[in-house]
Amino acid sequence: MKKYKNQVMILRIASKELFHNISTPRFITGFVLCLLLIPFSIVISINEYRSKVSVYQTEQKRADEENLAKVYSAYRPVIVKNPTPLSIFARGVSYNLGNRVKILFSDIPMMSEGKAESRDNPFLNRFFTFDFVSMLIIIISLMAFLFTYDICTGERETGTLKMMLANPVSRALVLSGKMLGTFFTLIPMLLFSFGLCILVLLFYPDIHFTSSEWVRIVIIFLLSMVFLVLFMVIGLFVSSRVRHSGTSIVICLVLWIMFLFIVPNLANYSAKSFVKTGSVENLNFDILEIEKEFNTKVGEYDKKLPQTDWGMANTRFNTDGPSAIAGASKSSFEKERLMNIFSEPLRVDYADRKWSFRKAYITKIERQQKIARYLSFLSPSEIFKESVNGLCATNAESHYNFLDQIRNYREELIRYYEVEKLFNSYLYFTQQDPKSFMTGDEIVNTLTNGEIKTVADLYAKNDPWIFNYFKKPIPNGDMDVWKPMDLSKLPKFDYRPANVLDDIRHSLLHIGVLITLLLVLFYFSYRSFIRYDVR
Amino acid sequence: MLQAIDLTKRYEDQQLALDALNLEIKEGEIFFLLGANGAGKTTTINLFLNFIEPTGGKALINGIDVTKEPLESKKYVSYVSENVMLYGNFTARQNLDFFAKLGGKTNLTKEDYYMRMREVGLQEDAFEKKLKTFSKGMRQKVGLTIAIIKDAPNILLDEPTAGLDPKAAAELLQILVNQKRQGKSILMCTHDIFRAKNIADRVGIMKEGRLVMVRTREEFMEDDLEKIYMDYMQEMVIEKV
Amino acid sequence: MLKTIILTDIKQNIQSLKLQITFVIMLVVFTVGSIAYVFQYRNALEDYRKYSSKMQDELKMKADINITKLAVEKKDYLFSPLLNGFIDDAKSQFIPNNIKYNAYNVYEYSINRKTSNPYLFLSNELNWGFILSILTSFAVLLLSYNAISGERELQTLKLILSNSVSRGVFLFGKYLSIVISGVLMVLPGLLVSLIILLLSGILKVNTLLAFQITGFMVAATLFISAISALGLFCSVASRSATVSLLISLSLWSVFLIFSPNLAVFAADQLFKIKNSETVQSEVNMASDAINKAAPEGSWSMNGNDPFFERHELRAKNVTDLMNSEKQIKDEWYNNQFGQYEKASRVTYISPISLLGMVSESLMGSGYPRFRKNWSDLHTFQNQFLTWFKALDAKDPKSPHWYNPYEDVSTSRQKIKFEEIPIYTERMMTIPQRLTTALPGIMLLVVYSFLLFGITVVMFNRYDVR
Repeated sequence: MKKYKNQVMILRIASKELFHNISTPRFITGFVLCLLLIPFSIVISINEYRSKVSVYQTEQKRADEENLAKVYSAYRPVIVKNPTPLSIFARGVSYNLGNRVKILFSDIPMMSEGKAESRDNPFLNRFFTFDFVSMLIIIISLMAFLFTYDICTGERETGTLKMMLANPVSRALVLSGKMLGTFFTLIPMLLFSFGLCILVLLFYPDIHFTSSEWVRIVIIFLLSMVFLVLFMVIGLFVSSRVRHSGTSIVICLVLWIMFLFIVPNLANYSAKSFVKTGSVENLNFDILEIEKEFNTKVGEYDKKLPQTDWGMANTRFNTDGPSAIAGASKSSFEKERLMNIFSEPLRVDYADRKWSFRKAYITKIERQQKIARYLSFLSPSEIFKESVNGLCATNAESHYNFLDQIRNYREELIRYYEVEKLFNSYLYFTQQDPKSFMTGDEIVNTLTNGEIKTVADLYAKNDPWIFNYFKKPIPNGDMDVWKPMDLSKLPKFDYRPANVLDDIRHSLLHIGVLITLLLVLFYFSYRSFIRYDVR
Repeated sequence: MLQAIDLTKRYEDQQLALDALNLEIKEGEIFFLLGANGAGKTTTINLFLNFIEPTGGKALINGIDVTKEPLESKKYVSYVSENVMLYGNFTARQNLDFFAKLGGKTNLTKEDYYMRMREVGLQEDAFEKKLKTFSKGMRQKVGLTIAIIKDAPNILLDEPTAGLDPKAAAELLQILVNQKRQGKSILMCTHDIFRAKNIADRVGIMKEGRLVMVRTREEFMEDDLEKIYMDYMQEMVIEKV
Repeated sequence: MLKTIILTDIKQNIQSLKLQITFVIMLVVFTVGSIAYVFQYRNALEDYRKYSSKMQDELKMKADINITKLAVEKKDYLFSPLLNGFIDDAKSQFIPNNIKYNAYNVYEYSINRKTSNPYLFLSNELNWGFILSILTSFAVLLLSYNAISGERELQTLKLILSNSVSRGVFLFGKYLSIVISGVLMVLPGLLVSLIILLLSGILKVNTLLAFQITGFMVAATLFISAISALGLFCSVASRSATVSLLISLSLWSVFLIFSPNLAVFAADQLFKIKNSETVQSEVNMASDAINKAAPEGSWSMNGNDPFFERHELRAKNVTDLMNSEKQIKDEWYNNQFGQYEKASRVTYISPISLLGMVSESLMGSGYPRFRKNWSDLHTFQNQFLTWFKALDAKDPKSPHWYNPYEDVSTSRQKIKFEEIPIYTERMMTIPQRLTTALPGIMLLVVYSFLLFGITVVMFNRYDVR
């Protein structure tokens, strides 16, 4: 019976608090701010997302064309990561990074490439725009403070706290009631923010979310409630430790500025200044040195191989391996094949050597990012933002994850080549049937339509313009008739983004910190309020 | 009944706010506690309401020790604070409703509230007006209504007539008399010597934390209350011009 | 009378908690920001020097080959890090800082991200501009929002106006006291920052630096006075200090957050221009048309013989291709400039953006620096081409068929490295900077005047009871 009475009393105090808050101008201000600030940010985020999607579509088309290789040495798949619509909620770092990775044998992918700006006009980057989660943080934390900064001091100053406590209600009850009432005052604003967002999205029917993405949105909403309550408790804590509303509001607003604007910038700027990473330019110069060494070794080996009788052929250049060859002499083909048995595994080895430099660089970059992040955790709003970024897969970790999967795929692909002995095969660099390989003499004979019988004869003419003697095109030299390879047996890249449970597990640390902070501060506020001087 | 037994309050800076107060206010009695500012009147009320802890002695409301059973004791006391401000955005009735429920009176109707407000002399058109539009006198009346509607056996008032015009003050005091006739114990802290003569059953004078004098009605009707008061304050007696 | 009001208010402000707390925080941020800047600038300078010296080495190698290769090879000009970044960097690392050019054309601009970490969020540098825009503006608003409504609530407003002081004079006194308090709050931080920077040795003390520092301080004072006017306006907009606070916080949020969002939104929706894919396909189509129309033999090439007659056709074809691409792209570039300028004008409702614009101009960095380099590089490119053609004319081994991309039909003589003209950036001069900054400065002054004027009118009808 007593418990019921207490619950009823809490609800009474809560509803008083709610009705009183609604009648104040603070309430309207919250909604007005939401209305002013949120729709614009969503529209901008949507535009950024759409331009990222159109870039993705162009690049995917290009990748599909590039991936139609005719010989195994030309097959270096380009993988394009499609943007997630959840980036509309939280931009994270997703718009700093390109979404395209080309698998090379001679190098291990370090970072993604491709268009990294979501704004077509790069000068517009001058304007730092705010995404939905940043806007939410600003409005919700400000409103939470504006309603809780005088939760204790205000009633003390008007004398109503004394009047309440002259009744058989315990202080714990009064505190719970007031916090509950304030919570119910602020929840509509949170709902309104999310509602506005969904409303604006309805105007863009081309953007849809999968069911797992909706689950994430719901989780983000729940997290925002935790965030709301945390800032309410911070306001409560300040209010319970001081006697005047004037002091309380100043402390709360200063905390607000610190958490939202100073700590994030300070963290990033300190990390950038104090943690050296070195430039990519210098890394590239180091890589070039290694490549020179590789080229020298290949050159030396080339000299050891026997000379060919006829060097002319149709070739198509490949950036990451030997050129495709058609219409060469038998000895040329054989020489090339022997060359590949040496050079390709060496290429992969040198990729590993380059990787040691690259890894050093990327480790420094990652370290700088992690330090920036840890420093920013001095602000609870940054902790919240990071967990939302994690849920939207727009934080640095999800990109590291993507690149790791890419690297594993590369290993898988190379192993397939090694197991199938593709480096040793003619198919690595030509589609010409080995049965059709001709000797140099045979080729000259065909080319000159029988006029000149041997290579030696041709050179005996001592004419720099030997083309003048050719009556026919190079036999079997037409690569355009080659069809793209059947790639069905090759390992394919299957991107597995983390599922919801994994993302929650990763964000668990952040969520845990927020909730712990909440409980600790509430406990201390409760203790302060119990001894609060109500006079 | 309100009892203070050797009630003492000494602050951390050794300031002695209340020095062994012994006081008993019976049912149906109005007790005026007079004294200069800072003499300890408000401290006494704060101790009864357990807003501060006594450093010695105890305070009892209807025999219940306020430190040992604070919530229980508060069932039996009503309180009118100095400078009633209440919730400015709520109407008089809304304020009344909230505090009535808090005090345990959950079944009152609108008519009940209106009746009480009429009793204290509030105008009809003020019942549903927001409190921030009220004058000081009207606010004090709302505060008093809140105390009365709780219908507790003891009433504590802190400077209820400060800043009121004579008519409003008289109205307020009349209500107190009505309450006394219903058997309530009333402790009122005030500067108002003039009104003490009219309605107090007993008068106590506090000086620097001590209750230096208590006189019954008969006693101070004979002597000049003002003279006694001033003597104890060691002020100059105002000569009759 | 005026002096009394001002002095009393300043004293009150200095003793108030809000000024003390924000002062301490600003001081801390100034200190940390300056120390971090020293490290960051040293790193950036070192990286830039390494990059430049490697570029020099490459140039030396190329010079050893021939001057045509020198002329046709596309070079990158990367903007150097500026020393005045501790005052304001105008988000220079986020806008184009790299221009590609050769002797025949200035091709394109891009953002060189080589020294930035893509895994970090976009964030502001902790320079003076940032501290002023965010911290000081907030602190000044906090100081001024209850200048009038707070006094009304304390009942002291009645008391003051019961004396023979006019409302206008009183208001002006309040206004000055807020501005002075604001400036006093910021000054120690600025001095500490300057001391740290001077001690670190990275500062080159010269007239330009003195101009920039003084100029920024003047701009900062104007900014503080605009924000003070705003806070004062909020104060008379309501009888309750809480409502004044709400209004000023809302306005601050709108200026800080709403205006950049509005600018980008306006650029996307109102000031639409073609996007890069469209432009690229236009260029491709035009190139295809030119190639189709090119006479037979335009693509023949003989590496050994510059005088191969088909090289003249080739040169013409390649020149036509370059000119068509240049025409399309230059138009698009100008559109981009226009779009950005229009969008930034939208932000001028916010005094925070105005301060950014003024500091950007005074520092000679950001967008004005880019535009200057863009046009200076065009001038340099013409001079370079003239120089190249003059040398080429003297070479009998060259048929003088100018081909902007390829080394086929122009002089192949070698050249000494010291004789190569190198583009050196000329910073904006002080008069140039002042002219560019002038509109922003005027707007800030207008802002203060206008707001203060409205406030005076409102205060004359303000209910002081």
